Amino acid sequence: MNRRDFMVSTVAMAAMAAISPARAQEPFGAFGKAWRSAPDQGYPKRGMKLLSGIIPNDLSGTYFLNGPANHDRGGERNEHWFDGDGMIHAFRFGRGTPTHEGRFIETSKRKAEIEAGRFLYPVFDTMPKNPAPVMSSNDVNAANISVVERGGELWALWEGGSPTAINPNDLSTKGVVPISNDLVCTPFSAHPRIDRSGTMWGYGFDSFGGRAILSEIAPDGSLRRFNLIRNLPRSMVHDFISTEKHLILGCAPFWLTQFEPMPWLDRFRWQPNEARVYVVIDKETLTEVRRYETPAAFQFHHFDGFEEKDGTIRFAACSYPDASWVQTEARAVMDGVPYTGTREAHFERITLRPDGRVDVEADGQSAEFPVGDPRFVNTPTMQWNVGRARDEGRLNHSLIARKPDGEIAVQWNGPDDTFLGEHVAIPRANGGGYLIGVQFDTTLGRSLLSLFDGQNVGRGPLALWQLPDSIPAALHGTWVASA
Amino acid sequence: MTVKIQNLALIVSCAALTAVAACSTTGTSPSAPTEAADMQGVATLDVVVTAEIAEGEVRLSLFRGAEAYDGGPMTGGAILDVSSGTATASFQGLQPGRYAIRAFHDLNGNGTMDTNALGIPSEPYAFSNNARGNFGPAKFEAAAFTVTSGANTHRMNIR
Repeated sequence: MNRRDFMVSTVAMAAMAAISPARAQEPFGAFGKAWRSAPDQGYPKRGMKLLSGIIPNDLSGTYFLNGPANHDRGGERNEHWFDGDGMIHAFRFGRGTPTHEGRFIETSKRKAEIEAGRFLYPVFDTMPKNPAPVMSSNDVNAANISVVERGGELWALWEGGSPTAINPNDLSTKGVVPISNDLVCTPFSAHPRIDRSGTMWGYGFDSFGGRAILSEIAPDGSLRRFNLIRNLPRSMVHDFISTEKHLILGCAPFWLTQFEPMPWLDRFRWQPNEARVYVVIDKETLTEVRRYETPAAFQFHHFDGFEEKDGTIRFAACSYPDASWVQTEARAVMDGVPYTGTREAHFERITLRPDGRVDVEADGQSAEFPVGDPRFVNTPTMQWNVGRARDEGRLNHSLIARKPDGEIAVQWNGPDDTFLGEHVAIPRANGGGYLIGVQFDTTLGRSLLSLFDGQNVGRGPLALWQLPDSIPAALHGTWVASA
Repeated sequence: MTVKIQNLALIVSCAALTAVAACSTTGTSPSAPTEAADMQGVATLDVVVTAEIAEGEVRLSLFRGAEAYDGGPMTGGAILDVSSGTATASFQGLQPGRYAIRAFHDLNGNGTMDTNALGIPSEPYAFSNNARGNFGPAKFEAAAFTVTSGANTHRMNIR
């Protein structure tokens, strides 16, 4: 079945038809500004304009954010949001006016393509004309999904290959992080879990072989140990869940079935009659201990998990009804078409019981980009997500605080034309914390930075800044407090 | 949101592996004749290897025919010092025919082609004709070249 068979969104279909046969080089309208390419030289450090609110005096540190930022080269345009070269943004807070800067990650892929003046390598969903040979994952690593702090460096994370080390001070690229001889050039998730001791639990998923490498990485970035587990579904697995004692891989029935050369996304087929499998792994041994089958649904993200005394594991998922969002809607945005609500992710509470039973409960509320306070990882605590007030809404414009049991505590609905990105937690010394993230004003085409009180998101942003430039829609970030 | 996803990494994947593994056998002397000369004609072959990383050694194995290439005995092997970026392996006394080469760059000098935890080569590897494989080593047909009686030269890159 061809990917276009999945084009079920009439909005997307209409837009695609309108530009047929050739894809436009520039997206249309103010919304489309979020999918333009950033300048190759990046964005210089400049002050941000405070539009409203006040800046808390205990806000000292940097919000780092990663995302695809180059979508065009040599007359070709990427097909998908997730194809572009990664750019690290830094929003620095301390003395004086908060600043923004952005710099592309100088991957070998990016350097080769700049030199060639065209796209050379197949990426997530685009196959360039006359592609160059791919000899290792380093050749195609776009480093464009997330960023975490490790050993005083930033690691820009992709998913199909190694982390890329970035200097947090000037955002210069230091190079690929092999982690170890065993893990060199293996897939490494953009969503490792970091526990309260600072230990990073990572995984790399081999969809070709139905295998995963589980890893434990020290705060200094060194590998403590790893284990390869096998016989997993050949799924696309974007994040995993941790509890105090376990790691849980969620394997949606979106299976790699195509092995000949083609873009990554095209290799997968949705299997509506197959189960979504949660594989529970013991942190002590890094081996599988149990599997649970749940109804078919696709996830990029899960909330943090925790475990009860009797071994019951609780977490929540941002569940899509199938894989059509990533196959269709995340391509349509490249033409400036906002994705519609019906295929968005919705909140789902999942309980894995030690006797093998599993409960899945949905509350009907849209939910994506779940985040938590790093001090309370693996405990029942408040978590946050973005969403939308109504399914028929076209954009994620809500910020939602959820109680430990998943019930909505508070919801803030921004203007209908606001497109909220992930908002990450900033712990405060006296307890509580802020949430910080980027939003896009789709009427005026402006990028904004917003700061919320995590304990009272309902009052709206404590402070709202306008960035000096409209930046490409980004993905995941992290807060690093000043030393 | 997120995304991505890509294990593009594995595009290359397991591909090369088993195959190149044959190279792990240390080569014999670069110029040692390994097969009796065919009275119908005797060939010599210079294999010029250009390494992207100018350090360490490249180990290559020469095979005559598909059967040998797919797991049979090699006709000859060579260990090349590529510290200057380019090196040549000379084979003499070859029977004319169809040949193919598997090679890997032994960057850490341990004599074997290292692989990562998924079994994917973590050192550069190459096949004659600069052929590439798809989930495995390059096929003999893609890597094969003809050696005729007299002098022959084949050039390949390793990166």
